[in-house]
Amino acid sequence: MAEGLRFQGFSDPSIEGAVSLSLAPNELVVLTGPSGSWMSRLAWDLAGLGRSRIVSGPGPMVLTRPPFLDPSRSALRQIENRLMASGLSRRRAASEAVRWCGEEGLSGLSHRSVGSLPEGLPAFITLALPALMAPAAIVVEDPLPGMSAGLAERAVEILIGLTGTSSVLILASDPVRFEGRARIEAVRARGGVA
Amino acid sequence: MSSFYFREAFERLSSPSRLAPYLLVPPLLALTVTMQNTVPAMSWLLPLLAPQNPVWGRLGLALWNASLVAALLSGIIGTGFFPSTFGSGWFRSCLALPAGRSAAYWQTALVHLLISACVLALTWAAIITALHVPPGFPLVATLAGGLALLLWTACFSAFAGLLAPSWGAGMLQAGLAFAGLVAAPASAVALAQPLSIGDLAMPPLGRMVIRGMAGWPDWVAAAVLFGQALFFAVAGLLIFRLSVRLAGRRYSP
Repeated sequence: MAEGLRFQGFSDPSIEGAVSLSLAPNELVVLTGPSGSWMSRLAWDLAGLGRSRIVSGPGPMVLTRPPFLDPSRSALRQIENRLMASGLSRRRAASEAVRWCGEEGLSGLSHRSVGSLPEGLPAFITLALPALMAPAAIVVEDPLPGMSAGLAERAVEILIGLTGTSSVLILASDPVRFEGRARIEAVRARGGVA
Repeated sequence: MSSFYFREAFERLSSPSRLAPYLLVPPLLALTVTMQNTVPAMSWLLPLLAPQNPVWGRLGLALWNASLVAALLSGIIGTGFFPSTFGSGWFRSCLALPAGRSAAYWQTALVHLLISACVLALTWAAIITALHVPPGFPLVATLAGGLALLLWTACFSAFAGLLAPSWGAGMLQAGLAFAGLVAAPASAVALAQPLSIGDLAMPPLGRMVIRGMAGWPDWVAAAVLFGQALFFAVAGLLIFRLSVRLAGRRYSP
């Protein structure tokens, strides 16, 4: 049974006060707010890399803002490496990554170097990680920029589908694609502008 | 222990563009050996002692020049590779994976060292096959000294790559290595003196190479190089961890 995600006491110079949030198991929450570095800083802290520990309990899988893949190498090979880093065996990582890319219609593209892929596609391909690992909690920072409308819609469907096994926190400056499909929480900019 | 960063670094460093500079080992080796045999002006950089034995001198010259050339190319590749890796957004993003924070630094540096060591080992093997090793030649000391040279270069290029962009890291490495080479004592009497505390601040590259070429291995200089390499490895690791903790994604593009 998934445990959800809870963090408290996150603060940043660009936002008002301290942010605390609790996600129920299998819940999708979009945390939105002013543009700025606060999202990156929050993702960094949630990954346990920041100055203070804000997550109680096991940390979530965190996909920080793209670029997540080296532009000079094959996307598929890098996804395999990252799946292995997250606990899958080499054989299983390879077969699962190939299967996922095939199901998403990316078989031909995934072998190409990331730098040669259309904009937005590398970020889309990284969604293979939470989709295949199904961790208890996932944080994805700004997952949709650069994607075409069709690709962004498919990415949103994948993120919503993750709630079958995980609690999902999306950090996004523009939550419009999630309206009516997720709980949306807003942080306020310092000075009172939302 | 996850080997994620080891695989990532190996894939990047084994790409043709990163390996291509090692093709320069044979011509550079031929050039340096020829120059040291024939051009008197080289003596200001590496003033050769008279070999105790002409056959020893020939083998020592080839092995030590191979070590110098491999270390030079390793340094050039390293100072291009480490800044572009540690400073890139995708690499910083990977730190959020459950693959260890320190491993991002030491596994990346280890791969660079291992690939350089493979190139050097192959070059040594070719030399030893071509030139018979005479009885009594200090082969183990020579190979250990060459490895110390390479270890120092790899550890320092990773350390410099953390502190500066490629050109800056290259300047740092070239400056310190060049100073270490030319700071070697110019006479046999001075070379016979033990290293002083003041000498420890500078890598004793020239001293070790000159004595090695003369078939007169300097274990103390090799140990100092190992020690300095260890210092740069540990200092680099600490700075890397600190930069992750304090700077966060300040490196992001």
